[in-house]
Amino acid sequence: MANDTAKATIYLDGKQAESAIDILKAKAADLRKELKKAQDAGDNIKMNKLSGELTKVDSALSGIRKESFDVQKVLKDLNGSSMNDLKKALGQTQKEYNRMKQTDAGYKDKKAEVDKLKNAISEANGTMKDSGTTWDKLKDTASGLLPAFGFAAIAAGAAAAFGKIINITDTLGTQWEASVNGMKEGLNEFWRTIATGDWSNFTTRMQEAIAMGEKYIYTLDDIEDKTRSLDIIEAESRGKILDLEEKLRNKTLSKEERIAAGQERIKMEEDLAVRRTGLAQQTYDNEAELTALQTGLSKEQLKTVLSDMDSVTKIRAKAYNDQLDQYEKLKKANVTTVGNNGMSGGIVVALGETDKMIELKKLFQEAAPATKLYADQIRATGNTTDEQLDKMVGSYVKLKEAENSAKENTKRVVTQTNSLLAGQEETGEKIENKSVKNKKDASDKALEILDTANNERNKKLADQYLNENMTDATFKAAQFKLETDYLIAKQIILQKNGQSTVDIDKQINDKRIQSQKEFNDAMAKAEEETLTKNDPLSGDEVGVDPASMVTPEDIEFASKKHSLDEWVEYLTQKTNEQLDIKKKAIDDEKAMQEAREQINDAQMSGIGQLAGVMAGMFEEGSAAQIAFFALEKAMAIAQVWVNYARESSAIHFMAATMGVPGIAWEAVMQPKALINAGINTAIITAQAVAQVVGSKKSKKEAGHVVGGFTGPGGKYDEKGPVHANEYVIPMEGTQAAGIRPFIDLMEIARRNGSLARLDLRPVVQAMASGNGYSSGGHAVKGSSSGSGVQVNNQSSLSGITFEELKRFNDIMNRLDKNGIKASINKYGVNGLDEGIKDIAKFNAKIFKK
Amino acid sequence: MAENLDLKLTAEAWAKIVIERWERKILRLKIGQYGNNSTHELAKSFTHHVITNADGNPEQIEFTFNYYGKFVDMGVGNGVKYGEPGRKAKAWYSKTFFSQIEQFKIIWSEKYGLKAQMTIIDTIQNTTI
Repeated sequence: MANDTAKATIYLDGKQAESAIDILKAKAADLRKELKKAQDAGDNIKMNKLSGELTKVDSALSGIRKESFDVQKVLKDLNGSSMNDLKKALGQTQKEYNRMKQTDAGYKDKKAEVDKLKNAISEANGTMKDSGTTWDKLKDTASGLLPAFGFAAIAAGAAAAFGKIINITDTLGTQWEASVNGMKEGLNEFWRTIATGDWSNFTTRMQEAIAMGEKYIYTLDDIEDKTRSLDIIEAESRGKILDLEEKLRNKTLSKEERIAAGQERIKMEEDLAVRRTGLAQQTYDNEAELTALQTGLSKEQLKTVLSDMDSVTKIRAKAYNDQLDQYEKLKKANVTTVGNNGMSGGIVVALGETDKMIELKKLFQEAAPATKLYADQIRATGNTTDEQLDKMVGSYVKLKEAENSAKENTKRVVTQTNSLLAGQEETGEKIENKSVKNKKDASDKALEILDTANNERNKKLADQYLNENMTDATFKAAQFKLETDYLIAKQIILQKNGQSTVDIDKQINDKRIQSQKEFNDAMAKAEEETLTKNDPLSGDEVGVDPASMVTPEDIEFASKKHSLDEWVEYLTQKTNEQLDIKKKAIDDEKAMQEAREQINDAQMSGIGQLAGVMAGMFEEGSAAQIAFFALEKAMAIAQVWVNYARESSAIHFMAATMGVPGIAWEAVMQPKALINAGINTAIITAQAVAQVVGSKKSKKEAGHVVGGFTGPGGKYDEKGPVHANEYVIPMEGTQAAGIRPFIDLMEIARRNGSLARLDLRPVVQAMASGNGYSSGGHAVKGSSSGSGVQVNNQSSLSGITFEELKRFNDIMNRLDKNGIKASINKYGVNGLDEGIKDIAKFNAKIFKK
Repeated sequence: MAENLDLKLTAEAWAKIVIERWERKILRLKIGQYGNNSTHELAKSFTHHVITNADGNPEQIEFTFNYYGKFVDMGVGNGVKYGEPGRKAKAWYSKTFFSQIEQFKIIWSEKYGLKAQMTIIDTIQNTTI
């Protein structure tokens, strides 16, 4: 900072002074010309008089010039701080002065020099009281010339003006300009007097002219100040006006508040109108007053005259002046000198007017006022008249414009205010509540982004369909999901921004109904097909399907006697065929499941990413961002839940392959239900998943209270606490092949939640009776006996009857292939048992059992 | 006569006076003096420049000096704000400067007055018949 440089600048505006000096110079040159002209015209009387006066003036001015030189010197010494030089100069001058006699030429001048040097020293000491001496001197010298010669008056005015300037302490600008203008007007008046030859009241008129010139500048200055203040007020008003209009538009304010704002707005406009017209009026008055002074007409007369002026006025005015000159010449010529018979010193007597003179006088009287005015002006001020007249007319036009626009503006503001109070813009557009509008804007913006994102996703899906061999069904499912997701995201956006969701709710509902309808139709069709295919009484189609349970070959084979080996071979072959079919069906279902999961993954992830991207587009911490952040989180949690459901479904599939039909139903239905729930209702999903996550957490904290495998390790490795009413199978048990199937069975049931319903008593009874489980019976309450094969797969086939094997085979086929889906759709959630009863009916019909 | 009306010279002379007054004030207030050591950096930093227009008439008078001098004048800086106790203001700048400007106004007014006067006199002299 220490190395930085400060700068202080003083601005010196000498332009006004310079231009004023130029004007004085020009006027002085004009004076010279006039005098020359008077000389040429042979006006000896005037010339002699002027010449004598000029000599005096010249002498006086020469003295002043010398004095001025001394003042300059003093000032120069002062500026150079050479007080010693100043004193030295005074000493030298004083010596010269002392050596001189009173009769010597230049004695007085020398005395004056001494006085001036003393004054200069006094000034140099800081006392400026004598600084006006030069001009006072000028004034005194010239005062005697006032009645005869205008310059003296100008000089006096100038002296007064400069005297004021010398005493100023505030600013050079206005006072200087006013003084100069006073001088200018004084000069103008002087020229008018010379031109008209009317010297009556010259001094008074001169003083008035100077005063008017000064007043004119002060008024201009005042107008400038007022213009500036109006500018400030208008600038401030613009802000206030906007605030008030905002209030008028704000429907959330009370009626009284809005009316008060309207009244204030109108009043503000009225005040502004008064100020604007007031300023224009003052400008006009100022210009009109000066013009009136210059023309000698009143303001009203001026206005009338100016309104009558036309393009030929100037031509007429020139003619008028020519005629006037002619008249003056005639008048001059028409004089005679009487007494002493032609000798000098006689009395000059004017003779009577000639006819020509009378004619000319009549013409003057008949001349239009505008012509007279302009003629006067040309005589008075040459051809520069137009400038002041134009100023006056221009200010009058502005005044009228200001008045008219004030009326128009006020009227417009009143109309606008009433319109806004009525809830409408001037254009008739209805005003929306600001906050509502903001919300709608935010909503529209978010929807626009959503639309863009959705279009991208649709395009991507279309690409996948075309390029990745997507099946129609998969594409249709994916497209359906896309549409649903889009509608739900739209619904969330609208809800968050307080917009109506009626339409979108309806669309979502329609979509769901449509979806449900399609699903129902598909299921009904599948059921119909299945029943038709599997119903042996349905006609030609019986036995056509290789996967059907009872084929004509079966019936034919069964109608004949076969050895046990033949039976074994036949059944093994049939079983293998059925197992292949079953395996294929499971593979198909798995593939379908995976496809669904992939679509689901893509959609879930897509929504989450979409929400993330959109959240980034909003302002940090805004409601919209928070909403989308929540959506993103909800989707992430939903994904967890879906994964969890998928894990569960994997267990169920395992169960299905092991022939536990109660679980098989869930294997098909549960993932779908979970996925739908996960996608369609993100918020609910989030809550539900939170519970799931919570429950998982509690499980972890509770050790193995829910049962299950404790994980690998040594026999004595601790893996958590054991709780009351639990039974722990030691390592030997879990590793024993004979016990493992039971553990597996229980584990499956535990995992799918059916442990409490698992009933192994029939198995135990069968084992106790020595028949094994192969003789049939129910492993699970209310279900078929299919699972018995898996449990007791070591049992021998010896002793089984054909009917038993056949029945077993049929049930296996029916359950694994079609029975489950048909049952669900036809009989609802409890349809499995009913479905089994149906199967029993089939059996009864077929085997007449 | 021309040199008498040389406004630039007048402005230059006045600017020198201002700087001289500042220097005096700085010495009197012992600004830039640390114990017996005096650097007088502030006093040395003063420059002035009179800028004239195309006609040779002065339009601006510029003064430059080390910026920290203004802080000394106001008694601020080093974390001390104006009016707070802690540093004593050494008013070398403002009072001197603005009182000199008042003087300058007087000189300048008279200078222009004289210039106007001389112009008229010159013109009238040429009209002697």
